[in-house]
Amino acid sequence: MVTATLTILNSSGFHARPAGLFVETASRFRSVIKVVSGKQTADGKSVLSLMLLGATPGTGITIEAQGEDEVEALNTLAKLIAGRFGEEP
Amino acid sequence: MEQVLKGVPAAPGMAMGRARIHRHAGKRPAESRVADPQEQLSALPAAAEKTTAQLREIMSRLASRTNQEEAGIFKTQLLVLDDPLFMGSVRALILDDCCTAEDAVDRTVLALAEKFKALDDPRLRERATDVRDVGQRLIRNLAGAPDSSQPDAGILFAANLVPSEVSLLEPTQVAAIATEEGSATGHAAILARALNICAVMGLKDVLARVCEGDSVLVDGTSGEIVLDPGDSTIERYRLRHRRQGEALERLAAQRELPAITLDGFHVELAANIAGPQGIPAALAAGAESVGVVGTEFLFLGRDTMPSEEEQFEVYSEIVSGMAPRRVIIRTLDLGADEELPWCQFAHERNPALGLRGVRLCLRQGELFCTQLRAIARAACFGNVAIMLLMISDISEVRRTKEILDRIAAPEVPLGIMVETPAAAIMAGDLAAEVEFFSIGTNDLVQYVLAVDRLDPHLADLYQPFHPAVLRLIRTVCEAAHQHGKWVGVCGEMAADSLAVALFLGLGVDELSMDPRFIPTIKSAIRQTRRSEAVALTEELLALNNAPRIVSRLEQWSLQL
Repeated sequence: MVTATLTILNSSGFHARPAGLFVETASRFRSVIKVVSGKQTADGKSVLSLMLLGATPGTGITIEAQGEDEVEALNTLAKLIAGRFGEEP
Repeated sequence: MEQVLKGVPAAPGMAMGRARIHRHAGKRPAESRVADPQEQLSALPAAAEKTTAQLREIMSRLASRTNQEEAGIFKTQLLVLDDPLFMGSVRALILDDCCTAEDAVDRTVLALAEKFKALDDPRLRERATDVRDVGQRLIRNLAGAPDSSQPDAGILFAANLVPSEVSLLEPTQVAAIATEEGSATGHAAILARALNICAVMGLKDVLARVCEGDSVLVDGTSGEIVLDPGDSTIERYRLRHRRQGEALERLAAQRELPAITLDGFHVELAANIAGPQGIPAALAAGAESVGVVGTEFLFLGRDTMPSEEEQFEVYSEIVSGMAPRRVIIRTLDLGADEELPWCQFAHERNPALGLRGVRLCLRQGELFCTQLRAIARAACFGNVAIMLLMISDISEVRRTKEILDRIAAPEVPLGIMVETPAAAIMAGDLAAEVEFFSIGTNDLVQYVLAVDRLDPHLADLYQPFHPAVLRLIRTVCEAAHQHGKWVGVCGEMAADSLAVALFLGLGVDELSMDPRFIPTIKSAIRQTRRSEAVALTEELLALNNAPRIVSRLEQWSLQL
């Protein structure tokens, strides 16, 4: 399993559009993806569970990936978050 | 068989379409245990596929009409449909509890909505609506019910619609509203008019006579609906509607002309609007100001109190959109049929005499301060004033002024709606405290005559031209003018062309109404001589019963 800890930087947090983008990206990989925020863990392939994390801008999250393509999955997803989901800085 | 039903004309216009029966969201599918859960499970994929196809169609339709963002709302719904959390819960409920697939979806949606409600972020909390929306669509498809988002416009039938439900309707999807309950002066009707959706209300037992999918014609101008109309009937109504439209166009041509009498007395014609979406209609009708902005739409149909920022954004949009014209913002009021989920109230025996208007505001201190601050901040974008409702005691005005002082907004003009007999009788004292009065005739009539305006059995007793009402209105006008303050009228009476001569005679300074009545009222003002209206009013106020007053006014308006 590989993990990365990042901070949510985009203006709306894990809102509908960013959460949707995250799920679409995560679903391209075979690995199991989890997103941990505080005491809660969300399924990285479930838009509902990601939104229910209630992660607002500035929240620290940890992405966990486990499976055959875990390294590539983690890198791609980390880039998505660091790149503010394509939002203008 | 063609069948004509008569109700109350609640919002003008004509529409044709298929009947769609609205069931209230509170009603859940029957909980029944099934013998074969596998059969229920196997129904899911096809229903989900159908739901996906419908959502994709909605998205492509939206994308061609608006920007991509609106279509994005439905992208989330597509993801929900595929969501392991959502579908996992549905499957588990079917297998473990042996419930029907519909029931499993319903219970899943309810449980998820509860979870969303618990979130801190208000924008995320609102996502519960998306889950509910897609869940209901899936339930309809499981039940094999017709898709309510079909592009052909439908006629929405319901026992009753609350304002928040009407505010969510799209004129593109709902061509008309037909309800068993409700009246022309209720908030639901006011919103229907603002949204340009024609409506007939008070159609007794209509739900027993109409079936889903029936062909229906609705004439919101006359208050009639025709079930299964024949070709000649449709043609007759179309012709009538076109004539009315032409008459309105002629009146609209007067838009740029001032609302002055033949002898030069000016009456300010203002618009009642229910949100920023009402601005274009107000300006198009030639409104000189906004006499009432109802703010209920900000508070209804949501699980949390709107923040100061959120309110400020809406108020400043209206104020800047109407600038330099004055915008009077009415502080929160709730009708008898409305509730705020985030604000617990005791059950009221008689809501019309209950915690309404300023009473509610003063008891919900935080809510009131937030709203007043948001209005005061919007003042830098134009000309704004605050209006309090349901004033029955001078202390309510003084307490509000203290709050305005405390939040450093004393310069925003403060007025009151005069709608309780107490306020009307105390008008002299109140006029010394405030900048203006607006007479809310809908409630004033019901409180003066002790007649519930929503009770169809008492409709004959609800007499706006009752001498007791008219004499009280005179008291209010005189009191305002003695203190150098202006007085307006903002109930349905302001839009009644029969009442124009009367208001001119009393020296009313402003009439605020649904903007589509402005051309008619302006035309009546421009044909009247104020000096004659004053003489007529003297005569009317000496009469002692409403039918004689009305027939005298009818006689007068005929000679114009």
